[in-house]
This record gives sequence, structure tokens and C-alpha cells, in this order.
Amino acid sequence: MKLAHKHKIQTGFTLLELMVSVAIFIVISGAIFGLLGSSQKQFRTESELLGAFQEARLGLDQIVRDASDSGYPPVNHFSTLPPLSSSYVTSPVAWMPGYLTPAFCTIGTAGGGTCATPSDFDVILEGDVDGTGVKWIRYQLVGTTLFRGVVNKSAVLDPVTATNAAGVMLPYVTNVMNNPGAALIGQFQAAYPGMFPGGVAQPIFQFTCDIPNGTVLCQNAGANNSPAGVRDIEIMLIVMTPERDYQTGRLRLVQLNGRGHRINPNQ
Amino acid sequence: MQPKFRKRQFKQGGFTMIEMMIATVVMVVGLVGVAQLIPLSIRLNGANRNDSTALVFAQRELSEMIGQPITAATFTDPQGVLCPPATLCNLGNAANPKVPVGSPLVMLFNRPAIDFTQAQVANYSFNYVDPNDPFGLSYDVRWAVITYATGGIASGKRFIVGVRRRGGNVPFLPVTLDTMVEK
Repeated sequence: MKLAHKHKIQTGFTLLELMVSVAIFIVISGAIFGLLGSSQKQFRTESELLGAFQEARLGLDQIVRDASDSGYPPVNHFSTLPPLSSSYVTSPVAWMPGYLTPAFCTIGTAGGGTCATPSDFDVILEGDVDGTGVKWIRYQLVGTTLFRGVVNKSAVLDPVTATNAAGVMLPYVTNVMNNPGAALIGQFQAAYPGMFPGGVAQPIFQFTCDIPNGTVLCQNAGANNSPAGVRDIEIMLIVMTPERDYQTGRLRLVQLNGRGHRINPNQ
Repeated sequence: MQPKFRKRQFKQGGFTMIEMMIATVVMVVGLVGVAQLIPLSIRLNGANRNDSTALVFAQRELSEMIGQPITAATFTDPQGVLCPPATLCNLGNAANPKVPVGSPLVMLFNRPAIDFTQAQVANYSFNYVDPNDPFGLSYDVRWAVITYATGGIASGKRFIVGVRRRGGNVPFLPVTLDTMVEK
């Protein structure tokens, strides 16, 4: 009797109390896991953005280095010009059409000018960049991939034919969105108001030419508009992440600007 | 025997409701105090990021100015990043040497800094819109140039460049960089 009485007083939690507390616990831990999930998404998005940034920076740095080293050795470094034109630099920026004649073309933007290369999305640099002979280094945007190719300068082939040979041009930077088409530009402008001024494709390459008292954009250089007079190459790379923002579904872009400044003298 | 036992059982109470409520209030006050640190740190993190962007841009602007010929009175940027499109950015006045020309300066901790309380000066300032910022955040870029000249021809220049997020970046002061070039 005594024992039974004691048992009756020492009650534990009722089932109802337990269920309520478990329900509260589940709600709270659910909220915490929800936070964990969203921060995980944020982390993946930012990682991809950082990856795009790194890729753009890598590409930009290499273009800047190649552009800065172009134009060596110039013609006026030789007292007697070597017999093969592949031993010296004809122009810091190779051009087409008319390279083999040689007849210079004029550089334009957005399809202007008579040059097929150099253009907004294509450049072939000429120079002995590593001490192993004169090279043609070509950067060309095809679709959304920036290709890079290096080939020894040829005395008989033109630069476009030489760099178009199989296995020369290799993908270098992917997801380059400088020329993505009107539909995507509209979406980009909605996400990044400052990135596509005028709603048109943004040139990767802009060229400035030497004029008697400084440099101006080649298309404004008049009689000095020539691939042989290119001094600076202004570079703008816009790179998109492989996936959209995992949280908001928005497109994520990175824009980097740079300038290659040729140090070698004119021909 | 029985009544005594019963009484002891009855006395074995836990905390009272009042005690629990006081303890809860104390805990909530503490938690709220600590929780306020979270929005503060988010805000500071954002301000830090803006400050870093301002610093990087000031460095780019300064190196562009250093790269100009010392006698150049203006420069332009074909990409419109370091100087707005179709605008001339001024690089001091050799006819007015040894005084700051351009945006007004203020002495801050014994060093010259751009005075952002004054209005912008044309050709010595512009607003830079960060293209990588989805919200189109813009920065106020200003500079002043002290020219050293002999016979009206510049022989040295000191550039003072200030950048800050437009509208201020509390609690941080604007970024100011300065450097000197001589022939």
C-alpha cells in the first residue's frame, strides 16, 4: 500500500507533454536545417562566381603579357634583314586580309574597318615572346569560348591559315559572354545594369594606334589606323558562371578590364 | 508515519513559475544583446567590401595617372573606366605650380585627403559604376594634383586620389591614396 502510494505521486511527463515538446524541437531543428541548406546554396553560387573570376583573370593576364611582349624583334633591329620573314616581326599585330602582299587593312569596331583580324573578338599577336623564335599567338572568340593558339610564324602561310591548322587553337576561357546574342544581353542587363551599355555586344579587344602626339582608338586614328601602329590593346572579358544562382535563379557575371601595352618600338 | 512522508513529498517542488520567468527574461535580454551583433557584422562586412572595391579602384586610377607623360595636362580612357567616355580628365596645371589643383583637400591626421563634403569639380571627378555589382553601386572618384614646374613646364607631380561609395560608407572614412612622380 505504501509503495503503491509513492509510485502514484512520482509521475513523469505525460504523453501529451512529450508530443508537444517533440513537435517544438522538430520545428526548431527544421528551421536550423533550412538555414543550413540556404547557406550551402549561397556557398556553391559564390564558389562558382569566384571560379569564373579566376578563369577570367587568368585569361586576361595572359593576353596582357602576350600583348606587352609583342613586336620583338622589329625590322629596324636588323642592319641586314634576314631572308625569311619568319625571323622578324612584320607588325606587332598580324592582320588579314593582305598580310602576304603586304597591304595593311584598317581596324574598326562592330564590323567597321577592312580588317577581318584584328577585330572586336579576334587578335593575332606577333612576337618572340619566349626566346624561341617569332610566334603567332591568336585569341579568338567562337560562340562563348575564347580560344588561344600559338604557332611558329611562317614565311609562306598567312597568320589566319597558320593558326587555323588542326590542333592549334585550343579552348582557353569558357563561358565568355561578350557577344552572347540579343536575348541574353537583355537578361544580363536586367541582372547587371552597368554591364552592357547600349544593349550591344561588348568588344573583347579594342586597339589604340600611335598618332604623332599620343595614342587614340585606331578607328579614330585616320591615316595612322594600321595594325602596325597598334600600341595598346584594351581588353574586356565578361565571364558567366556555369550555373545560375542556386537561390535566386539569376545569371551571375564577372567583368574584368585590362590593358596590354606594347613596350617594343615601332618597325 | 504516513502524514510525515506525505508532507516531505509535497515540499519537493521544482522552480516556481516566477523564478522560471525571471530566468527566462534574463536569458532573453542576453540573447537579444548578442543577436544584435549579427546585423552589425553583416553591415560591417558590406561596408568593408565597398571599401575594398574603392581601394582597388583608387589604385587603378592612380597607376593610370602615373603612367601618363609628365607634361600631359589631360588623359582619356578608351574603355571609359578610368575616365568617363568622351571626357577629358585633368592632370593639374603647370602654370599654377606648388598648390593643389582640382578637388578640394582637407588635412586629416596630418595628411591631405580629398574633402568629400564639397561639391564635385568637373574634370577632376566622376562617378564610377561598378559593373560587377548587381545593384549598380557607384563610387565617387575625385583627385587633386600638385604640379612642380620650371619655366611653366611640369617637372614633377603629386597625385592625391580619393574614392568612396557614393553617399558615404559609414563607419569608414573615404579611401585616399597619394603618390609623387618626378622627371
